Amino acid sequence: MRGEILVALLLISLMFLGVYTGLLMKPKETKGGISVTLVVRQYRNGNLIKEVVDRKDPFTNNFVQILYATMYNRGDQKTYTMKDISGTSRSLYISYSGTYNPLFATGNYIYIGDGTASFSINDYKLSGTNILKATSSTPSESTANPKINYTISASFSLSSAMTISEIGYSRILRDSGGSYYEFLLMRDVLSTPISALAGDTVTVTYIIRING
Amino acid sequence: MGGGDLVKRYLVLSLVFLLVPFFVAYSIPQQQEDDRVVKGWLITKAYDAKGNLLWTQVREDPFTLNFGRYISFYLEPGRATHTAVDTSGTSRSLGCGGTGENPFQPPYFHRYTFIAVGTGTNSFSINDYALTNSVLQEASLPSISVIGNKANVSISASFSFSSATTITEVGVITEFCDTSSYGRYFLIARDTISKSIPAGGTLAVTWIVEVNA
Repeated sequence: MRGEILVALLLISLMFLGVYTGLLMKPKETKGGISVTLVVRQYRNGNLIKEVVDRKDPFTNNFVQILYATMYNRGDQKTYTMKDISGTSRSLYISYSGTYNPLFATGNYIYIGDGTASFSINDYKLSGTNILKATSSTPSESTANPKINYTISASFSLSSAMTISEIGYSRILRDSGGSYYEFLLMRDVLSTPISALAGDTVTVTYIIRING
Repeated sequence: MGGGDLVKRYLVLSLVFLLVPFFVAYSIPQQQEDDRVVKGWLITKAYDAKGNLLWTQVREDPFTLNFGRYISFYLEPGRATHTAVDTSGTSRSLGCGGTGENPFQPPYFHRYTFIAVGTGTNSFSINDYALTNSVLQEASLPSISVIGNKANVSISASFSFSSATTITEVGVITEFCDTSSYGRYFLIARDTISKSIPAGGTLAVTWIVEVNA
């Protein structure tokens, strides 16, 4: 009887070992794609009191135009229409250098706001009325094959209370006439709004994950 | 039953209890959380010499580090340069003519984006800069479509084969301009497949970047 119990235990152990090694040796397929993790933290008196982590952050049509320009070949002076944060359509030579190089510009910003309008690909600004803007950091890159992460962040010190329910990212670009305009590339409505008081500090971090 | 037979029986039983769970666990697809907002789809279709569809394969195509470097230009606060490795394996600083210039400048206004197919079998790495063994490449113009809050940017190319061929890798190559004002070719996506095309057949490849997927 005791021997049979030992055999049964051995067989069960072998079964678990089989499952474990099967999962361990399972080939991992790299699916690619881009994910965006948005981390919003609220500090009061230096203490972290709330953190919202969202994994959606849809890209606007302005971002789509940039992607399209990357793949557009023949490279003539094709213009791409993007909508600046005033709602005005602008022509850009995304795939053209020289005098009207769109990247010949300085300024990238992260926004926080109190709008709750759901995301639309045609968004060109935040939807709220109480909106704050801060300069975004230079992106940091980290790689762990096959994954690549780019991180940008900004910090806000609030002088008055506000509800934070939407976040955005924008970049200054030069248009085909040589003028500088600001374009919203990402906007997100938070899954959980943050009620912040005067004196609170709010940090926003975007992690753009490629193949992750 | 002898002692030897008993040992054999337990040995077989042990192997069954070990190997069956192993293969079950190995073959069951893993359910992973999918929070991606951009996906790169690779759709390949093969046709025989008479134009009959032989097979269709849909896969998700991973991006290379070169693609990441391209995206990072738009995360920069100001004029910058980033390095990328061209299809010859040489690291180049991007920006047509110097730091802060546009890497997407088309030298002489003849910039091309290609779909390339090959017979290499190396697994994907973000550091891939070329197909392992490129066989054919074909330039393609992209198209764009927006439906609701989703956008698709796609390029496609078609390849004809006079003899039976097995294609094992597909890549997307585009031209960026370096700080010396030369146009260089960079691999921005690569995937491994294993599909056969008969003599006289055609392989149609479409790469779709789906935004807000």
